[in-house]
Amino acid sequence: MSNQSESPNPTSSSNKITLKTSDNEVFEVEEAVAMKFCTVKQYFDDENNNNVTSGTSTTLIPLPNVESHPLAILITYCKKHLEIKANNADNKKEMEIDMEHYEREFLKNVMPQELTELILAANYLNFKEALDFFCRAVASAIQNKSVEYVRKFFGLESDFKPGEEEKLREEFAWSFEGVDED
Amino acid sequence: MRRGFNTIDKTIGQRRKLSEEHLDKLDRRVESRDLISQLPEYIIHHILSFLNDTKDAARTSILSRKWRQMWTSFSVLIFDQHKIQQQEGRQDIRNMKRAFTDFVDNSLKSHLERKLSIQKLVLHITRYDFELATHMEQWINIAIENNMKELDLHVVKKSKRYKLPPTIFASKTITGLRLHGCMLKSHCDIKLPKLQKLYLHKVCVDQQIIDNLISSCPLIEDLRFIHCTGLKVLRVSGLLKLDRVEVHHCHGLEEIEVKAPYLQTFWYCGKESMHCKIDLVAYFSLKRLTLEDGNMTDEMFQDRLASFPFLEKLDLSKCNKLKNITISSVWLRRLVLRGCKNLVEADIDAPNLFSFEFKGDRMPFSFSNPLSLKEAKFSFEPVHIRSYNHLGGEDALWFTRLRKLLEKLKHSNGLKLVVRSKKNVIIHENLEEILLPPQSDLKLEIIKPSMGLEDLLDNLLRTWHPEILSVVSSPSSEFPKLVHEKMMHRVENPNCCTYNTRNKCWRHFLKGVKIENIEAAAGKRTFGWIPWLKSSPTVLHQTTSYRLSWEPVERMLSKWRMMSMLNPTSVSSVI
Repeated sequence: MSNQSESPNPTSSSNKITLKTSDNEVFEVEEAVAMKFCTVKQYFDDENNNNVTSGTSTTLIPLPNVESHPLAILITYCKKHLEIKANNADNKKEMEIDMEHYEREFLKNVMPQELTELILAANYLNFKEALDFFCRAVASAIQNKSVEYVRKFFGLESDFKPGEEEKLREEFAWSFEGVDED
Repeated sequence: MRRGFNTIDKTIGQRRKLSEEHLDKLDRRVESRDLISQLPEYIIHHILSFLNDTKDAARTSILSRKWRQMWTSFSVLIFDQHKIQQQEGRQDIRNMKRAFTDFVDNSLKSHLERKLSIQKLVLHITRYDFELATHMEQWINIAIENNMKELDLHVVKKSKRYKLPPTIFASKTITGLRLHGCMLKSHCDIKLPKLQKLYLHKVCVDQQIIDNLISSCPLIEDLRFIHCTGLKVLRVSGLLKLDRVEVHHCHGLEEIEVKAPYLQTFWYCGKESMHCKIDLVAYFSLKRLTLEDGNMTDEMFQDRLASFPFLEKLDLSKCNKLKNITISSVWLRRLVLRGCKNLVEADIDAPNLFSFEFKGDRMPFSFSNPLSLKEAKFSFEPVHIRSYNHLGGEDALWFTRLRKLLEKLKHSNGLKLVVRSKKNVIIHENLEEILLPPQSDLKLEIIKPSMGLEDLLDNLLRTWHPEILSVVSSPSSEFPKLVHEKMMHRVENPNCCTYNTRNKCWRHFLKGVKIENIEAAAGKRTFGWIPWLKSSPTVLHQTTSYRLSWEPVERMLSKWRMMSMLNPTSVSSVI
């Protein structure tokens, strides 16, 4: 499961990596999971290059920009991602079907505001697959929806001056064709 | 406990049931904190790029100021040479050109420095020369390297045509190519695995490259050739996604052969001087057929119609060889007959027809079934001088046919009749008690706009700038009130149409409105129109007339042009 050739690192003896979030929670994850977070991987690569051998197997990596809640979700997502990949190593199509099924189920348990947190976390961790997945999820959630719906979905309010919005609506009238009823 | 996206309200309701402490925590995390707008720009662009339709992305610009800004920088880069050079003011041509190339260079550079992708590049070139060609090639190559999805290239035709760089034909990301006024001659390999839309407008092509394009772009859905030259045979097959093909006025095109199992829409427009053999194989799939073909005979038409039994829309324009045709179909929903000037008789048996549009000077059609149209538009052109005497003799017959048509249309509730003669317009709200003026130069339009009276009125005023507008309606109707409101209580300086500099609505041209007293009106300027209205006491009773005066269109246009030059708006990036 682990990818030693790809990610040389000093903690190979342990295979577990400890991450510490901004709200001081500590997560112990499999090395393979942690290596999906490019920011974490980079940390190891840098240490390796600088020849700073930690000597201990309990390297603790601080993640000052990630809260525990999104991190927990990301770790679950990542584990499942790797599992599906491993289970269908020889069949790409099967893998895609499994992944799609999992992602669909996954989204049922995520609320709009959480998506944003997840995107920010995935962005900070530089976890590309997750970032794409969550961005795609946001896109499909607002596809063909009215402005009012999308505002509610994102929890944002209009800050245009009176009249300004009407002007914009006039200018963008073409973009309102075929919008779903809320 | 949590739910999916479509049930925001329910989840809010459910959350209230949670324990106080838990709720606090959740609220802190979930309550309408606008986190999404705090995402970095390139992530929002990333989200926008997942939207299939640009319309969805454009609508986000109305969410808030921040999103407006996001959309503006969203990777649709538009560079219009004319607009950019206009801003530079009166400089010599060399400097103006320099200003344009610098502007594009800098915009591209800063765009890429911000790590933004290029979704779409629009280049509108009005002064093309070889020097510019080098720059254009550079810009296009940069965009291709940055995974551009759509290229829209518009070059105003000069003696020398722009030749596209070969790199464009090896792009793995391009989904849409819209080319205008350039040259497509290349013997390089073509491989555009994602290309879906290919529009060529005034492009000089060669046979080989079009054949190559069709055989190397398997995902093509939409293929359009407009005023293209150099193509002799258009042979399309093997495109399983092909949904639409359009060919408009391509000189030298002798044969079109399209075999596409899922083709739904086909357009062909050609002049009488263009002889093009059309072979279309799409028996089950074809739903919309538009033909403007001066060489199509009655037999050819009937054969063609028989080969597409499931047609839902048929549009025939300027098919001047057609004389007697039969259109019989239970599937047909929309029919347009426009300017087929030699048509004598069209027998129409289409029980499910709900939209019919006719434009011509006679009435060469008859229906087997009573009509129950939801949309109708009949425009009877003013009589041409050429046939004036001839038709003058047929006036009586014409009016009889019109009356018959109106009879058939009775089942279609709510039709309105617009009668226009010179600068006068009469709107009849009901078709029943109609009197037609004794003039042969009148233009009739029978309309049932799904848009309603107000839009009908706006359209009429916009298109015709009439001198006299009359409304004939039943005494209980609200329509005269609406017209009065619109005419008499309009604002002095209308603030609509701000973004539309060319085609502003009627309010910007209307100088004055006076209620016309039909009783008192007389004299030279009435063209026999008002005496006619006066001659019918019932009509007079329910008629309101307005005399309108208008600013000359040209004067207003040049005034606005001046204003926009003094006050230039932003140039790049907004669609």
